[in-house]
Amino acid sequence: MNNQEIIKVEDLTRNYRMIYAENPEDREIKVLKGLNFAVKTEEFVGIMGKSGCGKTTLLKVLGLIDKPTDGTLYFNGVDSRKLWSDELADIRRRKMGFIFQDFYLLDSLSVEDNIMVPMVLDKAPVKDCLEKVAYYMEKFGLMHLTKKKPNELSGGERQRVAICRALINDPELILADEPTGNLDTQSGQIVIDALTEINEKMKKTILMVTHDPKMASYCSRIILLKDGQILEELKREKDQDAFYHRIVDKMQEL
Amino acid sequence: MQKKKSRRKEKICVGVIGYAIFLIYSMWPVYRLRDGYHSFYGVFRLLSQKGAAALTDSCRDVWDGNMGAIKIQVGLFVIMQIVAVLYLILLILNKYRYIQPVVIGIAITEMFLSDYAAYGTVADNVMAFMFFMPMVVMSLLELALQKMIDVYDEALARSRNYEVQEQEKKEEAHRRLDFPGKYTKLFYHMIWKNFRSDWKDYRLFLFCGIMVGTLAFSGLGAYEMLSSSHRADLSMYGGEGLGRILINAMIPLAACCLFLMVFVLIFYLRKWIQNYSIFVTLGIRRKALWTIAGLEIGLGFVFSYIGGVIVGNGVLLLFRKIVGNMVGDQINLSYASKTTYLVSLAVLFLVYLVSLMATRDIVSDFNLISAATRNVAKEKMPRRFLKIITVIGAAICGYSAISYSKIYNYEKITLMLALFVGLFLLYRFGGTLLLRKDKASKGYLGTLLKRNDRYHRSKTTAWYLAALTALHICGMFYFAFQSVSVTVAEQPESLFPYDFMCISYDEDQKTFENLEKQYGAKVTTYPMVRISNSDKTEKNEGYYEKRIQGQQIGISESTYHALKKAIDPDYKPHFLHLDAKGEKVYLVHQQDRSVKAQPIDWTFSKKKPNIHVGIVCEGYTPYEHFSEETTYQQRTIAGEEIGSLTGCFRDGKLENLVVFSDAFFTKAQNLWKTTNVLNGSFIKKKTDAIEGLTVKQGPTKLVLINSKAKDHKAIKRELEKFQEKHKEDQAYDAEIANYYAKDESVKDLRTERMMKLIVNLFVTATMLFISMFLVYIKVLSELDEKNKRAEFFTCMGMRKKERIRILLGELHLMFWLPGAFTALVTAVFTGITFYVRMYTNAVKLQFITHAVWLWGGYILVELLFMWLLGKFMVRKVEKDDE
Repeated sequence: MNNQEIIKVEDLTRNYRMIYAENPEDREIKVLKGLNFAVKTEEFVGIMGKSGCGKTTLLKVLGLIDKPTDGTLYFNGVDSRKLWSDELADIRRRKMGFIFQDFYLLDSLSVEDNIMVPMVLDKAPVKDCLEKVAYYMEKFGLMHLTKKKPNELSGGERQRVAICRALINDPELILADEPTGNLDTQSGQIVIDALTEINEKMKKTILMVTHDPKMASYCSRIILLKDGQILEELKREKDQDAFYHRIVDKMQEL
Repeated sequence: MQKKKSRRKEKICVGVIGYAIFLIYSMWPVYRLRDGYHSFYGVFRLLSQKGAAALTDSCRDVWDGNMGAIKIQVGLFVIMQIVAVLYLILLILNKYRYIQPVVIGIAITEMFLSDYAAYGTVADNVMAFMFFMPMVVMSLLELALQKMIDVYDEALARSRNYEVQEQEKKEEAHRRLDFPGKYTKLFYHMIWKNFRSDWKDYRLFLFCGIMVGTLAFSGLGAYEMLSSSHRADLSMYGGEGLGRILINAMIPLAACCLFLMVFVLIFYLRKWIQNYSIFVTLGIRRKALWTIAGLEIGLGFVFSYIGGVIVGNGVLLLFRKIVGNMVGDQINLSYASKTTYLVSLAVLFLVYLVSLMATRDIVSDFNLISAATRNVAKEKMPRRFLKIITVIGAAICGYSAISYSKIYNYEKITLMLALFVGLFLLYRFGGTLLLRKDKASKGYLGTLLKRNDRYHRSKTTAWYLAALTALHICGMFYFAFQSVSVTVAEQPESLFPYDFMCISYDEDQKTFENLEKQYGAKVTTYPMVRISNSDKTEKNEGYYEKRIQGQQIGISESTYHALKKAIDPDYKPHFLHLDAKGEKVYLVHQQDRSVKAQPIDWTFSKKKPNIHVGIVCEGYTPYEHFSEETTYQQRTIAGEEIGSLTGCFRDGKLENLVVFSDAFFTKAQNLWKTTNVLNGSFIKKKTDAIEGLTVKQGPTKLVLINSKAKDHKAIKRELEKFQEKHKEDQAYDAEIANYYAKDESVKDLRTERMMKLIVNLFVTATMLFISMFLVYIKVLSELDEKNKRAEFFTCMGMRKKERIRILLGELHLMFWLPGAFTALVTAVFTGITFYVRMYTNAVKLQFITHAVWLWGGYILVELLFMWLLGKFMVRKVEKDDE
């Protein structure tokens, strides 16, 4: 199980057409330039790089929200190009969990409702939904916030709600885009601890985009991006502090 | 192999049957000559022996006696038959050869030859002309069948293969997309909660839909209500009938509704997509997503219709009350029937459909991140050809104004549309030019925060400004002018100086003498000629469509002066600058001040009217060139006036006065003798002029009658008999009559004016309302962004007063800039309309005195709304401070 590749990309390219470029001629911007890597099950992989290097774009492509311009993305060995949009939706709903920097919670729904959205969209029975929501809320200390609306919560609380939502369908892969980016150190620490626990105890594969070396040091492997290309891959040694310093050094080189 | 063999059999079978019929037909006697029907070869034999004597009387005159052409056709015919026989023999010998194109080619050549010469002119039956066509069809059919047999097996296999593939695809789709079970109540609960939180936006969308529904229902209902009264039904063909007035107002309103619906839908869908993008990311199925969207829009449609019908019925009730109070029993109002309900439903559906199609690009993008940032994305400012496009915009505006000043453009709303296009270009490109200039100036940084909105949202701002300007111009000028002009129009009675106007013939003299004797009526008779013009309506008929010609009254200069004198005893005759050749005419447009200025003739490129002396020649068309010179001549307008000398019975569309010089008029009275009444050509040979067949005299007397009011009914009865005698005069155009009565016309005119006033005021009010609604939507759609900006400004230490000033400055731009353009356009175009409608200074002054109230009211409501909206916006944006 450990050696199975959950995600594999070959020559992955993603270009964007810049409509609002200063240059009046529309320009094609090459954001991802032929990436090759794989993520194995139960790995905790970090994607790092400077702003604008294509981290979020990569995450969107890996999360099957966006399509690659060229190259191949395999999810569980299946070529994503051969999948129909509803199949992609099914994968996102059942096999992936998303955590965003801006949370993307629905203010119209309560905390409880927000968490159960993926289950509800999967036509899960009401009883199962309620039980699972209660389980995760208790696990992440959100029981007292059940009926609150997201806009009544702190940043850390909102992100924990987002984590619960990401876990509710028992996904194989969790994609996190700067999950601690909008949080203070304390809240950030709670979130990263939760993610570590999810990876280690719940055996979930996590792919996290971050620019914070401290958060990245919790990952088992780091993919360093520069100008849309993989600059280097760093593997974590047993000593987390040493790994952190290595990441800091590498980031300074970028 | 077996299959191939069997196909060959089929090919031979088709070929043999096809060409056997072909050859039998080719020998069939279809040509009718003097002594009966003959075959192709029979005709040749007879012509060779007897020449033209073999032909019928009518063909003898037509055939040119050219045997050479006949021989060529016979030669080709022989070759064609030889090839056909050869093909047939080869087929029977089981050897298929592809030689049919030779047969087809010859048959086509023969067909064309027969159309113009040779065999086409020797027989007078239709089949003689058509002889080769069945051969062409048969040979083409045979060829097509042969080709079909060739590809039949392949096509069959492909079709079966396609079916199997389709079935496999279906099965695969079923397998891959299988999603059993039903959504639980939690799903509906969530969707409902989400919908409830969107209610504010949905309410706006619904409100807009109800407004569109109301306008559609009340407009159509009002039209139906009026359609049974007076000449509303005729008005569809021309003139200023009630229905026409309503339709003229409803078309721009429909355009505004569509525009508004698209605007609101864009606003609503953007927010909707932003919400549902989360669901898409979390893996909602497309079917479920589109069901939710479809339900929301579908329910919106249903409630818009129901709301529209309810409110529309209220509007109709109000309309009925107002009309009833204003004209009492003079007008017969019917009720809105199921037609109104059904047609308004179709109209609303169409508006929804077009709006959804216009917003489809928004709906197709469910990207979570771009959906969240779409509302704040910077809009690209144009960079190239700014000066050129600005000049083009100004030129379009100038062209619109100049064209509007031409009477033959009939104060067209399309010229207003051109003006709006020009104004948009000025806003978008001229505005960008100014902004770029401003950016390069030293004071740029000082005004950056105040004007940032214009840079950041240049496209949206230009669209809003152009839309608001267009709405204000429609409200303040175009429709306001129509309503105010009613208030300055002459009294209906004064527009009909005579109780009856008759268009009569010499032999009717007795009828009028009897009227004089029996009722003591004062009968005045003037000589006249019927005048026709080549196009009666403003509609552009195009090449193939028949034009309805207009009919006017032709009089002499002396008659004109006499008519003027009869109305105004102080009138002093003046020279009208007319010529003896009749090339110059003086026109009296018999219409009132509230009717749009219009030309006598509407022929395309109608600077000079196409005027024919005489009754309508039905065969005349401006596109056909006769060998003789046509009598429909373009004549120069030496002068014109708007007024009433005999009565405004057809609102300036028909029965206007065309004045010729006395010298020409005498000639004109006899022109009918040399004018071909069939097509309007000159008749040169005297023998060709057969009275009643090729030449026909039209009415000759213009009879004007005044009598005592108590005798009107009796005189009318007499005139109905007179009209019955000349009913063929109405055969061409039902709007033309031999007598017109003042009483009915006064009643019609009064109701038309009332209708015009109500409808145009309603449209003006609607334009004002739509413009306010538009600004309201703009404010709502930008509220989030403005909130964030206010937070930023507060953090940066900007004072509240300054923040509010920026906020209100952006809002007030939507008032003063369109307002300034509207004021300018209104002033210029009102002046132009004064000119084309030939208003006197006193009328102009009276118009302005009346219009000031309407303009003032409009501006006041707009100002009040802006003030309230400003308060609302400040409260919403600066809420934290309070």
